[in-house]
Amino acid sequence: MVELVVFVFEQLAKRRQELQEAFQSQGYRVHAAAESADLVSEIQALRPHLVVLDLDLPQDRGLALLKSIHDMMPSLPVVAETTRPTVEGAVEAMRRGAYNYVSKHSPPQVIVDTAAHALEKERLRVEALVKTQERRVRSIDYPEMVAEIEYILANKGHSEAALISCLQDIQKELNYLPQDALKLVAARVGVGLPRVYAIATFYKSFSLRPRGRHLIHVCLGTACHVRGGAKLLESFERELGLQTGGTTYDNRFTLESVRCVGCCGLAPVVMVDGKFYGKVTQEKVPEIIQRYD
Amino acid sequence: MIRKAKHKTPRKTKAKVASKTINICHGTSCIEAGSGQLEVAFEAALRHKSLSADVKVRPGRCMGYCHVAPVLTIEPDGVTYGNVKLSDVERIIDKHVIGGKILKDLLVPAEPAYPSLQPLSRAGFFEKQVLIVMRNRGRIDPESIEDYIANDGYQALAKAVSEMEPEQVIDEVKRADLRGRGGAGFPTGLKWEICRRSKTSETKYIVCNADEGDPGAFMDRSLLESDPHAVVEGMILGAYAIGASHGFVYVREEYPIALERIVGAIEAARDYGLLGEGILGSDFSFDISVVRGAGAFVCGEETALMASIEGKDGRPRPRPPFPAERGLWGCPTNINNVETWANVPPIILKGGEWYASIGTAKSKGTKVFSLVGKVKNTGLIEVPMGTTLREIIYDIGGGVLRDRKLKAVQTGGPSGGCIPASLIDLPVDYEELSKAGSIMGSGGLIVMDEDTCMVDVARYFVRFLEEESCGKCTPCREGLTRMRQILDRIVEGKGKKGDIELLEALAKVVKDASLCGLGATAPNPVLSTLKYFRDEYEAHVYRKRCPAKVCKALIVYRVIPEKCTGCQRCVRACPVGAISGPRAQPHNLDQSLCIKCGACYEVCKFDAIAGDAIYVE
Repeated sequence: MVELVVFVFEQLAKRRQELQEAFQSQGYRVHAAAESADLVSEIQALRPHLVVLDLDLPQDRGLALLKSIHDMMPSLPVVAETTRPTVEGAVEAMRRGAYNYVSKHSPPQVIVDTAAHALEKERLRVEALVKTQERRVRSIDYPEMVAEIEYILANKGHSEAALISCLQDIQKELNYLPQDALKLVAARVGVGLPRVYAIATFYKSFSLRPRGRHLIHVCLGTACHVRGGAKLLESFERELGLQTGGTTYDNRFTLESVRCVGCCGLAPVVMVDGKFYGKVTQEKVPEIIQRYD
Repeated sequence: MIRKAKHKTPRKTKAKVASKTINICHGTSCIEAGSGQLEVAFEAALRHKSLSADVKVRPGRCMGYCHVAPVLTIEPDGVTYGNVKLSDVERIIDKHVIGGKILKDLLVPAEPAYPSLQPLSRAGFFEKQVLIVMRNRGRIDPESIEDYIANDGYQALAKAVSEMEPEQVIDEVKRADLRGRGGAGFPTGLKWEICRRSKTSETKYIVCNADEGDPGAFMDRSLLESDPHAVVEGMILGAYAIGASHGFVYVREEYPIALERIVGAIEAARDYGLLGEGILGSDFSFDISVVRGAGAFVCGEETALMASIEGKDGRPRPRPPFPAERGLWGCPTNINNVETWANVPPIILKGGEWYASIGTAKSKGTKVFSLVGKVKNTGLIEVPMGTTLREIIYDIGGGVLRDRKLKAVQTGGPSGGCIPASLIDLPVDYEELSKAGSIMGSGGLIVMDEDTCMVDVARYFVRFLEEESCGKCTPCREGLTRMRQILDRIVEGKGKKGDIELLEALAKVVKDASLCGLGATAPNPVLSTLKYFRDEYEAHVYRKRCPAKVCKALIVYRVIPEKCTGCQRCVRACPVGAISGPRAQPHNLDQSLCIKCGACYEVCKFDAIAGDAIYVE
C-alpha cells in the first residue's frame, strides 16, 4: 500500500489541527504549515499528493500562490478553501487551477471527502508507476549485480540527493556503470532515466564503458604540466599503444588524465590504482607499467 | 632448554637514551612518498632495540615541506630530516637517537654549510612564514581530537557559545576583516551577516567548499588531511553565528585521505558533544555531513556546487538570487572555502584586532600558498599578506630550479594570470594581484622559468577550461573552443597574421558575456600572457619559433658533439631508436625518425642535447 501525503496550508491554528486529525484518521500522512516564506519550494521538495490551500492571504496573494503551485506542478490537485466563499471567487480559483473550492465553515470531513476522489486517483497512478518500475527491474538479468545495487541504494536511502554518491559506490563495485545499473537506480530512486544518465555523463569520474584491471591516471595539473606531465602522458600512450581514455586490448590498463591530484610538491605525478609515483620521468614509464599485470 | 630460552631473549641496549619523539609528517606528499611504511619500520626497529618505552613515533601534521618528502622531525632536538628512505631507519636510530649525532646528509634544507643545530623556525624555508592556519604544523596527530584540544582546540567554540552572542561572533570576524580565501576575496563577516538576516526560510545551511579544483593548489587538501578539526571548529562557529542547523563539506573525490580524515574528525567531534543536539550544554544544535564530488571543476562554483549537493548535474545558475537568500533547497546558505573556515577559530580566540594587525591595508591576515613548479623548495607556505614575490620565491623557495632565469609566476589557477618576472617586487595581496591582471585564487603559485613557453601555458589553461566548461552558456562553450583552436594553430606553427588580434577580441567577449565565474575568468591566462608576453606569441606566429623550445612543431632536437661524452643513456631512452653511436663517441640523432618526445633531453646529464628552434625565413 502506498502512503499518500497531504500538505495542509492553513493560517488558523484550530482549523489546521482539525484538518490534520481528519486526514490522519483516514490513513494519510499530513504535513501542516501555518506560514512559509517559500511555500512553492517547500511543496516541491515534499512532493505531496494533494494540497489544501488557505486562500485568505492579504491582497490576493492566495490566488497568486495557487497559480504558481499549479504552474510548477500542474498535475497536483489543490483544494482551495476560504472563509468568504463567493461564486466569483470559486470561478477565479478554478480558473487558476484549483481542483475544488470549499468554505472554511464546512466540517473537516467534507474536505476529506472532497479530496478522497483525487487522492484515490493519485494512489492508482503511483501504484501503476511502482508496478512498471518493478517490471523493468525484473527484466535485468544479472541477479548478483541487482543485489549489489539494491544493497547500496538501501544504505543511502532512496533519495535524490544521494544519487551521485550511489553511482560512485556502484562504479566502485562494478568498475563502470552498466546501462542496467542506471535503469535500476532510476527506478528505485523514482526519477527518470534521463536524469540519472545526465549525472553519469556530466561528471568525469563516471565511466559508461568497462575499464581495465588497472587504472593509470597521469596528472595534468599546472605544476605537473610545467614539469613535463604532457610528455609523460604521451610516453604512456606510446608504451601502451593507446589514446588517453582508452583501454588495452587485454583489459590490463585504462589510461586517463586527471586535472590535479593535489600532490604538486612531487610533480610530475602518476597514479596507478590509487598508488602515487612522484617525480616521474619518461625513463621510468616502462618500469611502472611492468609492475602491474 | 633454559639456555635456548636465554639465547632468545632480546639483548637489552646498553645505551641509555633520553626520551624522544619522532614526528613523521603525514601530509599528502609524505603519505604518497611512503611515510606510512616509515612509521611501521620505525616502530618495528625501536621494538627490536627495546626502545619503545623511551622513543615515541607519532604521525604529525603536514610540514609543508613537500619537496623533500617524506619528512620527519625528532623532538625535542628540533632536527628535521627529509627524503628519508626505509634504509635510513636503522641509521637514524643508531646514530641520532642512541648516539646523539646528526646525520648531515638527511638534514633539510640540505645546504652544504649547514650550521649545526637550528630550531625549525629559523631554517631558510620556514623563516619568513607566519603560521595561523597551519599553526599546528608538525605538532599534532591529525587523527586525534585530544591532540587538537590540547593545542587550544575548540577553545574558541567554548568561548563563543558561553560568552558571545551570534552577532558578536560576526562582529569579531568583521573586525578581523577576513576575506574569502577561495578566490574572489569577498568579506566573510559581511557574507555571514547577510545570511543571518535572510528571511527566506527558518532553515539555514552552511557549506565548506573543499572542491579544490585549481590545478597546482593543494592547501585545502593538506588542511583537511592534517588539521581537520580546525575546519570543523570553524564551521561550528560559523553555524552558531549564522543560525544554521546543518553543514556540508563538499570534498573532491580525488582526495581520498582528506575524505577519510574529515569524516573521522566529524565523528570524533560528535562523540565529544561538539556536534549534534545541545552543543557544550547550550541550546545550539548543529551537525555536518560530508558529500563526495565526482570530478567536475565547475562544481567549485558555488551555485554548481549546491546543485551537486542536491544530487543534480553541477551546472551553475545565474545570480541573484545569491545563495545567502536562496541556496540549498531554496534555503539561505553560506558557502566558504576550507582555508576561510580554518581561519575562524584563531580570530575568535585571539580577537579580530590581533588578526587585522597582520597583512596590508585591505588584505588582512596570512595566506597559504602552494609554491610549486620550477622552484627548488616546493611545498606549502603561509606568509602574511603583502609579502613580495621575491621573498616567496627566493627566500622561502630557495630560487628557481637549476638556477635558471625566472620568467613568470602563475597565480589563481585557470582563472588567474601570469605575472612576469619584472613585477617580482609585487606585494602579494588581493588588490595588487588584480592590478597586475591576475587574481589571488585559492593560492597556487606556479613558478615558471625560461624553459616554459607562455603560449603553451595559455593553451594549457584554455584546453583545461574547454574540457571543464559545463556547456550551459554559449560564450564559454563556443568561445573557449574557438580560442583553443587558434592557440593550437599558433603552437603548431600554422598561425596566421591577425590570429593574435582575433584571439584577444574573442577573449574579451568570453570575459564579458559568460554566465558564471568559470567563463568570466577563463580568458585571464590568455589576456595576461598577451599583455606581458606578446613577443612570444609574435615569435610563434610570424617567425615560427618557440623561444622556450617547448612547442614540438617548432623545434628539432640535435646532439651537440662537443658536449656529448657518448654515455649511451639517450640511446637507451629513445623510444624510437633515433639515436645511435658507439660508446664514448658523440652520438648521432636521425631527424627522420625523431618524434620529439624529449626523452633524450630529459636524461642527458651533460646538456648535450639541444632543442633548437627551426628558423624559417
